[in-house]
Amino acid sequence: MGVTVIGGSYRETCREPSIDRLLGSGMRAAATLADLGHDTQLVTCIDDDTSDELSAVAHTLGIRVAAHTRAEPVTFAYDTPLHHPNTYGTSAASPLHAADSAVLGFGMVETQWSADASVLVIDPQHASVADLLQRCSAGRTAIVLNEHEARRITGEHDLTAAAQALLAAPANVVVVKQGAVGGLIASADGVEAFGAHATDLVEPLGSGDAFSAGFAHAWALNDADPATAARFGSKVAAAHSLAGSPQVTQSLHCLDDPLPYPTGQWPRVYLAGPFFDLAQRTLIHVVRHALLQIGVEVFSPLHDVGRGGDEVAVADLDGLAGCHSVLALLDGADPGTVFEVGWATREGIPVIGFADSVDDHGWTMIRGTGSRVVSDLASAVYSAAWAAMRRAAST
Amino acid sequence: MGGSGGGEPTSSGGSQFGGPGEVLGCGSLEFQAALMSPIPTVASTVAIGTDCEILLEGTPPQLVVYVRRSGEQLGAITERMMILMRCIGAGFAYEAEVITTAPIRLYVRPRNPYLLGLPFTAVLSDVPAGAMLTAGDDFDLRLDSGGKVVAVDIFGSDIGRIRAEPVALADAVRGGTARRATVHDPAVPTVIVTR
Repeated sequence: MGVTVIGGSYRETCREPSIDRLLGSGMRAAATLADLGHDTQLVTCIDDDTSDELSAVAHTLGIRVAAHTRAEPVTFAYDTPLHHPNTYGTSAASPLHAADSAVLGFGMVETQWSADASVLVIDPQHASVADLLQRCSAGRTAIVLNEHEARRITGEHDLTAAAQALLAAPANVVVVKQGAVGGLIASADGVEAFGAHATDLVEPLGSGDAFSAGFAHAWALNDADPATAARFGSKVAAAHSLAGSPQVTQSLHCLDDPLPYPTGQWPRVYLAGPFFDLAQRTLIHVVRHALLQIGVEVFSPLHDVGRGGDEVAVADLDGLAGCHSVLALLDGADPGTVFEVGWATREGIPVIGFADSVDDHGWTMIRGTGSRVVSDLASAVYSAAWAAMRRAAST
Repeated sequence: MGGSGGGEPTSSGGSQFGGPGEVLGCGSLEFQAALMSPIPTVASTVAIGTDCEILLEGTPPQLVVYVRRSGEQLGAITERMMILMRCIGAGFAYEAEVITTAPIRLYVRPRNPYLLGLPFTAVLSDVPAGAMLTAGDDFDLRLDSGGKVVAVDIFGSDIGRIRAEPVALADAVRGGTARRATVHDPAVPTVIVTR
């Protein structure tokens, strides 16, 4: 079945791990839908310097492209996948239009777009939902966005209220994604939650775009009900994250069942790590922010107890006792961090260690008592969140 | 984690595996990449450590990944496409090693030239229907317009392609060190490549 994706084709770069590719939301989602078996057209903008690369990538990924001119390249540059990107190149381009029975559209940095469709799925990114809806005509419309966008757009802190406000935008379905936790689906039938699929490896860049593609595949192209479509979107996002590729079919079968959406205690992660110098504190800040962004609570001794003398030890351990997992920043083998890992292990609290060298002899006791040590920061952060979800659900 | 190879290549110059000042970054360009558009029948045969070749071919030009030993097309990569295309255009070559299989991820790095040991046994593919092969038949080796190795008879007609070692064998044919293919097992069929 045919589908048109309207959205950006952007260069994505990352320092750690090293990434340099031409994808962007539109190109990525188009690749995912093509991989899921759809005749897929991408309506996008491209500059002269990047047009040959766009043609080559699109051909490799099996996408038809209708490209309109923009003045200069657009790049999203990340320090790590957990950081907000710096965006380079914001040249304006003429407005785009898509007309098809099914359209999936993403907010773009260089232009606006309109669409005529029987079924329309909008992933607004940073664009105005009201403006997008005003410019589009569709028989059925779904809005897919993350919790931070939902709160920003509606001004509602409560996600159920935010989803219902967006439903009145109007839309037939609203999906609010909550990172590692799962998300909410709002429709005329009410509000329902769905859980996320845990994976050992996590490449989070673009997994939200893959979610939207998976949702569009199920809801817009296969008439699945909203909840089923959101669960498939979550599965596609996990497969994308595991593969680090928009072509997800080779990874879909590798996934476990989704974790249950938290209903009782909200999962809380203890962030263990040294904070004696600026570099250590910077890492703590980055990781804490990332954990909060993906939807779990965090107890950080630096933030929640502070620096001090021997008196902080009891306060730290009180905080640890109230957490469902530990994310331990192990590089440097800080004695306090290693002590906390041992304490948590004895208490049955799962530990995820982050270290540049996972095979380091210094982690023998940590690995040997069942903890996982990983060298990829995004994978460590998500794994800690999922470990907390499992323990929170079982206690 | 794969490290970036550094700066952009210069627009001109640079011999293969060139030295300082020739093509910036190409000689140390190493990174991880997801395999795109995997061919399922080939993807199911590779293991961690399988060596692959990366060839720039097709219209528009794409970075196609071949299994070195069999020469079968495994898929393609799109990571760092422009810099790889510029570096390959400047005479550098790249290989890839399979580092995960489910899904397939590759470690891409510059390819050092090596001499293919001869004689060398390979499968002859794309044999025209009706062609009668007999053990001991000799054919000349040539490169087609796409740089692929073909066996031709005394009339210059294609008898089949040799896909294995798609870079090293092509280099050997180009350099004149691999010239003939002798049918070994007509049933498969296999040939023995010699000087």
